[in-house]
Amino acid sequence: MDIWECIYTRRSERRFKGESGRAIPGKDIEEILDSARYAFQIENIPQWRFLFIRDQNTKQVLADFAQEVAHMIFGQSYEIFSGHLWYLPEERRPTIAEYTQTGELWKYPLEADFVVIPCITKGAWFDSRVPYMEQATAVGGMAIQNMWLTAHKLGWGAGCNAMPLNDIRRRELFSTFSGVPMSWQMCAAYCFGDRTSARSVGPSRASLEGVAFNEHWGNRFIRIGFRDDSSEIAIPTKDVTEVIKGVRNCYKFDANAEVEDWKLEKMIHCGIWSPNPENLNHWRHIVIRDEKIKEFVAQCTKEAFLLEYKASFEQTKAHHPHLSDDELLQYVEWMLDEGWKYPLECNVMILTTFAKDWVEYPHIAGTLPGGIDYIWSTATGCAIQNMRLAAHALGLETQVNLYPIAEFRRNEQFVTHLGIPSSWVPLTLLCVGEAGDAPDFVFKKRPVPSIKDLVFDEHWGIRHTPLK
Amino acid sequence: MQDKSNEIKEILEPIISTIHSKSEAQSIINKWINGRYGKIIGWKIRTQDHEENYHLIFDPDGVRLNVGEYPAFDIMMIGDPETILGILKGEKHIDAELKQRRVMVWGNLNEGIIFQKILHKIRKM
Repeated sequence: MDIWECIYTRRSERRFKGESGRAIPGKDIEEILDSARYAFQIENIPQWRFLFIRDQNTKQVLADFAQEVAHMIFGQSYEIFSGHLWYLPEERRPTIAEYTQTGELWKYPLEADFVVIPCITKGAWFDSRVPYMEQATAVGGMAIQNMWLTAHKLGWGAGCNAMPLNDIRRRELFSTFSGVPMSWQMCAAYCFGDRTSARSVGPSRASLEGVAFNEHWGNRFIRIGFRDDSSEIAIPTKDVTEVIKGVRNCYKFDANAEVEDWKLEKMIHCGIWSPNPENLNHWRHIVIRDEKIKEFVAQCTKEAFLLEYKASFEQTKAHHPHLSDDELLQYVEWMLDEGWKYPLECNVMILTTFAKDWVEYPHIAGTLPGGIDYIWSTATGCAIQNMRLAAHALGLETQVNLYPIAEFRRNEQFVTHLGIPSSWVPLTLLCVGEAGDAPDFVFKKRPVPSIKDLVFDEHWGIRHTPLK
Repeated sequence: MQDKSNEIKEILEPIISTIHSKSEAQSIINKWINGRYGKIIGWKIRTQDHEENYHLIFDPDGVRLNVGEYPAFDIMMIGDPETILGILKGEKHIDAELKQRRVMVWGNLNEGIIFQKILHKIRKM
């Protein structure tokens, strides 16, 4: 399937045929799971494990939890809920509210063929320098987006049900039930199955100007169609699986290659078309070309690389199993001399932020410990993945940079300089450009971890048995 | 499939000209745009082995018809030539065609319905 068709026709499916529908063949399930491992990993260490569930009893627990929580959240106020349906005329909203507010709609894990629960490490492997859960959950979201698109390509439906694992008590119960240690954060139940019918309309999203800024928060990024001629744009395309497998982390950009604005529009647009909890359009992107900011990011990267590559050769070796000792020595030298410069050499950076404080559901979905705040960062990870996929399909390369964000003093400077309100959380900085020339070892393909090491069947610790 | 650009122009050019010449037509557009920079509506005319893309850009200064796919559209309608041309002419209703699965909408259907109503209103001016 063509990448654009896949991104634009993927929908969040909440109605599956259950027993009356087709079972997803083993080879499709393996292809769906397999696609996850091609997504970005911080320091090449997977911050996630997936719990793979087909057992009807477990699905029943998830379905019951989901209904209870959805009823509690959406049932409390029609006035609040109807605000979620901002894209519908007022007269059509009560019908939707009717089946949502009882929580009945959310029982769909029961009808799904299989459920995947992403579990994100709460700070294990601290040598990977990911101090914040937001980044780790976003990385989980990138893997989920690959699975979602792959399932869609294969003709299966998928939906994110955040409800069953929203609150800490139910999460604790489910942890005991499934054996997921409390050092792993469970982020929603992703349901896959035979959908009742493909949705041929939607989603309703904010306009690009509503969610993208140019250089500084509040300064709208205006589409080229409103300021220039847009009649000669030819959009290249590729197969979705080829794109998923082709995205790589680029450490060397061609400093002379310019990224046209329409390509940035396309990337952000694909981000907008990613799954989005409650359709709240909870992300904002800042497009940055300012050289001073690039210098700042490059300096942050240089400092981080010094710490990373000079701290311990053993650790570096563990993170780069694809390189021989000789290659690794050259690699480290190159990273310290040249590699840190990639934020300067890329043509443009996209800073993605998200809002996790939706106070319309205080005490339930806000920022309470154990609340659903990680759903927002996970979903934003899906958006970032769509942007990376789009970039690759357009012939561009990307690199996920976390250095000015993950260190709190740099983060403070960065946020202040860009005018980001404190209610918005910077998540990742995507460096975008065309690949430049670098020694072979820089672009040497890293091994991708095996799915049987990343997925547990039904219960934590039971390694996945590949299905046929 | 024969190139539909002439037919598309024939259908839309009188509407575009009315928007540019009559202030009440432009004010309908401005009301729809409602403070935004504008709206970009695209459509794909598809047969089994062929696809044509067009888009309309509405902004407070008027409207432009372009051949080709716009990378960051607000709504995209996809269908066979008869259905899409029928919708643009006002002979077919987008919601009815959707129910028959003859058209697909990427984006907000309600915007698509409003777009069709606006075309109809301006055509009668």
